[in-house]
Amino acid sequence: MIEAFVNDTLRNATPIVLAACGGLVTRLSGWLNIGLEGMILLSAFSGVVVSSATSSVVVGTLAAIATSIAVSLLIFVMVRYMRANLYITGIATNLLSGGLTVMLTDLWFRSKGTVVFPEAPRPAVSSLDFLGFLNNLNFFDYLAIASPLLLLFVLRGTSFGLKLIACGIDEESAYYSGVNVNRVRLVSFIIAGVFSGLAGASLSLPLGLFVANMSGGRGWIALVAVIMGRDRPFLIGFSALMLGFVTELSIFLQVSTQISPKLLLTIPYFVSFLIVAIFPDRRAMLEGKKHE
Amino acid sequence: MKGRAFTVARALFTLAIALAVGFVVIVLTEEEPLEATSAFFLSVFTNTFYFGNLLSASIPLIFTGLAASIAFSSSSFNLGLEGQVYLGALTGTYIGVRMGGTSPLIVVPVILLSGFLSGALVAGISGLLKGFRGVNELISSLLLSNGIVLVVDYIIEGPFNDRPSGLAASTSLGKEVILPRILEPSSLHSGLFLALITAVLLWAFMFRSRPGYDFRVTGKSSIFAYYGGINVKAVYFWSMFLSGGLAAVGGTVDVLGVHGRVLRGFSGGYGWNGIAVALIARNHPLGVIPAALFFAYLESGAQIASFEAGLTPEISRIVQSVVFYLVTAEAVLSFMKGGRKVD
Repeated sequence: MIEAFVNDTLRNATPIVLAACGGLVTRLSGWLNIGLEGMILLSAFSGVVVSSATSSVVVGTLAAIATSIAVSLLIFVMVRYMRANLYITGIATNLLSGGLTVMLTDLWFRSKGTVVFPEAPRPAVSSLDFLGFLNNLNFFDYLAIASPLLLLFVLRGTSFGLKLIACGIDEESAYYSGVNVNRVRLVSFIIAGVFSGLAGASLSLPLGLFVANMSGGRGWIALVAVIMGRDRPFLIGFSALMLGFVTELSIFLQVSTQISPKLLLTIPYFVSFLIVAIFPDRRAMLEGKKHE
Repeated sequence: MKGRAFTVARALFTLAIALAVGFVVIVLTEEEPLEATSAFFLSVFTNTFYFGNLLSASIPLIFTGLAASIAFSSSSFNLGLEGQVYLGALTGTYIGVRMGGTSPLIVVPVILLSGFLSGALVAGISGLLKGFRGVNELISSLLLSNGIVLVVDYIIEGPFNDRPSGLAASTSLGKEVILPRILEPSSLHSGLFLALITAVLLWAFMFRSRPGYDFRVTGKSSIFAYYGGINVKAVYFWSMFLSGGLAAVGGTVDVLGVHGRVLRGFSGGYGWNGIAVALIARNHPLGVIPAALFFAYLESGAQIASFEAGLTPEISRIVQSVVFYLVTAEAVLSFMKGGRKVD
């Protein structure tokens, strides 16, 4: 029972952890990408469609990643070269993905709700009988566990990581120290694309179906994890796990109690709200201090 | 004056590109593109019913557009408009139903005021948190709004449901409080005048009053405002408060004028489109009116084309997102500005 709960929590946290890692990289670069929600949704769609068409989980995952990178680059190009507002472009992406996925499912599959892909292969799951809570996890779940570690290494151990952090702290100083700020941000948006693509694929591929608005706010909750984790990969991983737990709790209570599912679905949002209210954004605070 | 002409030209250019994208999408996806295109772009003007509905659809967008513009011009990112609209609709309806039987001359203002306050307080929380705890209002308002939408859904499907109707809708308001209709049988109602008056009042507030000046200075540069002696924290709070209130009134007026009750998801998109409306208008309260009309035109066009020509109404969302992508892009049309380089 507890094992199953821990297990479900881990699996619920997977897309949040992955997206949060992508969000962190863009945030450190100084250009927070708030289009994660839309990138997850679009890549969940393309991932399951392509994996069904090619009968390959790997190709499906790659398609999801490619979609997400393309969208991330669209945001980057609009902001960098068309000088659009970063946040508005992120919102545009979220709106576009909502409309586009519904339109495509309607056109291709004559459905605006759930589309089931019976031929879509499912990613293999591990069977570790001696460690029940790690049982039934797939490739994406293990990747989610490894991502904060990987990110910690990149940030602390590579010159790219240092450049990334430098761009976010002060882009002018970074520029005059010889950092190609533009290129660093471009790479950070590509990385965000990879992570949100994986997050999207981790939603749709194991189920073999696509549901309208499948991302269900996970992109936003991932941003909460980034703020809560104060730019530290492990803390972010932990925060995302907590938020995964809250999400799992709302699902668990729906099954086991009589409380209205609508009310239970609000739990992740209100808990996230309390979290951002209690753990203020350190970077915003610093900027506020400059004014005082 | 040259600057203003350029602003208008850029807005028109953005809208033209968005419509062109819409046209391309229709041609690519529809079996009979010509019929769908003419239904989308032209049918609205063929009779007063469609045209009245277009004007009616612009009313909530004027309110949410004003709400977004007051927040943006004071450097507050209110992304909670969707929830505020919905909450305003529910609060107004609930108060109206509970006060049933009282003279409409009293009830209607009370409904509008209670709707205003509900949205204003919710958005005000985000404003306070921003000023005093450095909490990003973009995230806090969005999370609150997402939660509120679900709570309102719960209330209209549960405790406040109109059981006999079998709909996902609240109990209806009494006929006497419903705003008078214009251009029947379309759904256009006198709330239009309320929206127009609000736009003018907000213009006077922003450009002809001291607090409005404080708002605008804070929007341009909060550091400058701070050293100029403006209470920046108060501006953060009041701008969010007014923004949330205006958005909520948009929902309340839509209930009072069109539906007479809260229908599940009736306000879907009013909030996001309000943001686009404000951006097209460059946060100018009077510019919000034509921008809202344009967005209402897109919505109505897509709806008409969906039942006249079987078009997927989501096409309007794609056109809207194109507007979003382009509307803040300063590089659009900058070649017209005397060949000055962008960078």
